[in-house]
Amino acid sequence: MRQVDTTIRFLQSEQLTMKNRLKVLRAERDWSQAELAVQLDVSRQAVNAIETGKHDPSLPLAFRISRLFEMPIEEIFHDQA
Amino acid sequence: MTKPDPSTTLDHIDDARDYSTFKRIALGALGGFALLFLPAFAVGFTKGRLGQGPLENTDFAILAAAALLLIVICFAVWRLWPAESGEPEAPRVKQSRMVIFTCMGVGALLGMILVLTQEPGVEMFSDGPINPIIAGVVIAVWLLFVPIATLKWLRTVDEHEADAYREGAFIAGHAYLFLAPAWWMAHHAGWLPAQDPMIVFLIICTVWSAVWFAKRYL
Repeated sequence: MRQVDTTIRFLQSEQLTMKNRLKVLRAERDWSQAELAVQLDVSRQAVNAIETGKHDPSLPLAFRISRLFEMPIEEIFHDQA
Repeated sequence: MTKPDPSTTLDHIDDARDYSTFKRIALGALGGFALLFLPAFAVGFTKGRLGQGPLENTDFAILAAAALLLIVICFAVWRLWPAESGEPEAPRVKQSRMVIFTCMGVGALLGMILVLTQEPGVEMFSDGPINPIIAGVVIAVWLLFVPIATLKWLRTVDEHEADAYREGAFIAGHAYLFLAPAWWMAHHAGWLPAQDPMIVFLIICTVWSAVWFAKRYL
């Protein structure tokens, strides 16, 4: 039974997506999604997907975002666990 | 004056600037249909009429009307496309779009060559004979140009699109895994005709594209 609970918790944690403050940080700088996308060298759709939690950025992209906003990654992204 | 808490203004952030996904889908479908159907109609019509003798004025008028319709639709799609005008784009986005447009151009050209060189009485989408030279050209393009273009495209897209492409491949692979043996078995049971590899291919391509599109744009 305990094994089953552990498995369920693992599966649930796998389904959790990152939350992030990208939309807020972007708004503070009055950037459009497209403007942010150019600075990150990705498409506007990618920025939209990250903001809405549909896509979790890779570590290299997360670092690019972190450098761009001059903030540590954990201040921009946090998991829901 | 204190700055408002950004978290309270989240709903007012302009995150799309009037980008309309469904408008893009509708216009893209209309433009794609016009680009594929109207040239194919013109080629098929000309070929059919030439088989009956020289073209007459009414034939030229029909061809001119088809060309005009194509121009009008392309112009309308270009003008009505949801404005990203003035919005910047990353160089990789422009590069990947160029690769896709190049592939579409090559595909349309091959389609026209296939229609023009088709044997009399043989449907294009059938198992009928094809001129060996034309078949050789198409196979060479498929085995040389398409893999290189695909690799080039994969190198230019961002990680979000690459993820969408990979997920499409994953689901399409599983669709094949389930579909092909089930059809084969159903044929042996006498429920379905023999498996047609091109139909399976088209189904897999459709699934792959649909997943890619949904992950990328919806």
